[in-house]
Amino acid sequence: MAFDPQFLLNGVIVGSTIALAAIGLTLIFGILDFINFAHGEYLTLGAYAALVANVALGLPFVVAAVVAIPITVALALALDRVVFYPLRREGAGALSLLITSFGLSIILRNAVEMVWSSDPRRFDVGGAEAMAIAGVRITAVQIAIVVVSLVLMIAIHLLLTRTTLGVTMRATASNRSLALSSGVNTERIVTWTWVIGAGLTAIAGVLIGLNTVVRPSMGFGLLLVMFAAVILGGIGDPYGAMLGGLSIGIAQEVSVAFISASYKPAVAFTIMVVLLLWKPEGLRGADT
Amino acid sequence: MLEQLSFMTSVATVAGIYAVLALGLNIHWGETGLLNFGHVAFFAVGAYTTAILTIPSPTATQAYSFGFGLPVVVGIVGGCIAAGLVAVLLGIPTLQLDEEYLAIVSIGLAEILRHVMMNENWLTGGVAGLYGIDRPLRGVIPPEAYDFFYLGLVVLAVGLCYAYSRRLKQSPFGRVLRSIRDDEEASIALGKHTFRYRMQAFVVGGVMAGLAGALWAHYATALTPTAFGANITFLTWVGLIVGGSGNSKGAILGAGLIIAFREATRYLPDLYGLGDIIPTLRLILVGALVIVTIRYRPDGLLPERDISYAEYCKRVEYGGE
Repeated sequence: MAFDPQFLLNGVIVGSTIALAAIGLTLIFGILDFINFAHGEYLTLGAYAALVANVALGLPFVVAAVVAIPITVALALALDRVVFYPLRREGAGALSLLITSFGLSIILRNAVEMVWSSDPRRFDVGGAEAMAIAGVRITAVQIAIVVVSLVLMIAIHLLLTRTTLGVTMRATASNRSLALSSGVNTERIVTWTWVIGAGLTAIAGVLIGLNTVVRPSMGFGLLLVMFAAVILGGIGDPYGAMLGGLSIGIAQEVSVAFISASYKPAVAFTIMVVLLLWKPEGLRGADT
Repeated sequence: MLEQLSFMTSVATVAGIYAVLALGLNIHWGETGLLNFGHVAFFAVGAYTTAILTIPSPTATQAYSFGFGLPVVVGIVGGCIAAGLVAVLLGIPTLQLDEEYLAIVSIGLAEILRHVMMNENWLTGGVAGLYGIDRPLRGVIPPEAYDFFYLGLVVLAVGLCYAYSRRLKQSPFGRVLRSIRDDEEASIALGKHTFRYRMQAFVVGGVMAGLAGALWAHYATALTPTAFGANITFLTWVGLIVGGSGNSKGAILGAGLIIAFREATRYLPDLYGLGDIIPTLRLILVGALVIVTIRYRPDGLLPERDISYAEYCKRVEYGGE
């Protein structure tokens, strides 16, 4: 059987959205020093915020997608204030924060299901007609997904390297106490990390919902894939997360040519376990 | 009256099975500090292994291809061994790394096992599941007393796991586990091979969860993949944290409370016409309970009792407890 480039293209589409969500997860880990198990739920919330604006309020899709960002960010900041900040202030360990995020993930997922039921939903948007370009089928929506993801990744790169905020974020991630003693206001950095992390994740949720469907379990179902991307790139490393997300997405979609599509998550899992055995610090090495 | 008694018996049986699960998780998290977020994987492996070992060979109309018709005892032991093997396989890539890695990999494994259960019809019967799983001593015990007999069996399992956990508190092995949990570097400095100890603890806790799964299989007599979702892991965690991790009595108490809460709220829908939202509302409350407990009572209802050095010497001097 000749290799079908269609799988590769699907992989790039899926991978670029995973990469966005994984950057959010890895930034939050790097700055707040705990793995947020509720991260998938922020993705779901982003998708539902856009869905309400788009389908219930009848706003154009692009407007709805933009509106979803501040809504998700506001929720993430509110949840940080109520749930995580008190623990952080008391100097609770990373494991307390992690278990708390586990509880938060149950709450958010079930709250979404309570309000919108578990039925899959779709955005009200056109552009679903597939075009044939160079032997592969792609829709205008899918081209938009890839372009938006790439633009955002470049924006993150510029933010991290060209702005004071980005530099202080990287400094805090690599050595919190040193950053603190150099006069970095770490709580302010924490706030900005949630803004950027939750914002990117909300967009990822909207794009994934656009490519497939919106449902309450969508974020939790992607948690494993996002973790795999983060571990592949090295925990806390945003560039690694981009690379990891794209690789995992491509590996998953290409695997469909060989094994049952229901084992897509197993591909991500296998890659993750092999990497943990071989190179636990991530593909890009321990430079974080 | 008889109806209520039978209801109470079934609740107690399920609570007992969750207590075994919680005691296993307590060895992982409470004693050793291992973040296992895929506890349901061991539970499922225990349940499916004993089911496959004990169900009769398939007829032409059945989806599954393996049924060995072995005695229930063999099935339960097999379920425990299989769960222990899964623990070894899961432990190899994760137990040498930071705690977070185990959390991630275990939650992933549980998710993938669910896909295996749903898709591998030849092994698990797929979405339709496995039916007609035998119950131990079915022909010997009179049917009207059977549920009490089974409850007795579950209580025996809880007792065994509890007795083991108690011994662990006082044994040198248990002390090494707690030293790994509290200060791994100190433990390494004292020459302990911490990976090996972690692995042993991980296997023991996994075997307990496998036992719980096997008991569940022979109690429910039918297994479907939907019964092995992440909620089982959540409920066990909540039980352990609320009850008090590091305290075996706390693990049993917590498991009992969580199941009592679940069963008590099961009949609310009929009362207030809240049928649609109860299942999600229940989990929202359970999630909130975790957050509140970690925030305000991180040691749980029954906190771990530290045995001081002086008390320890006294116990050893007087020949133990």
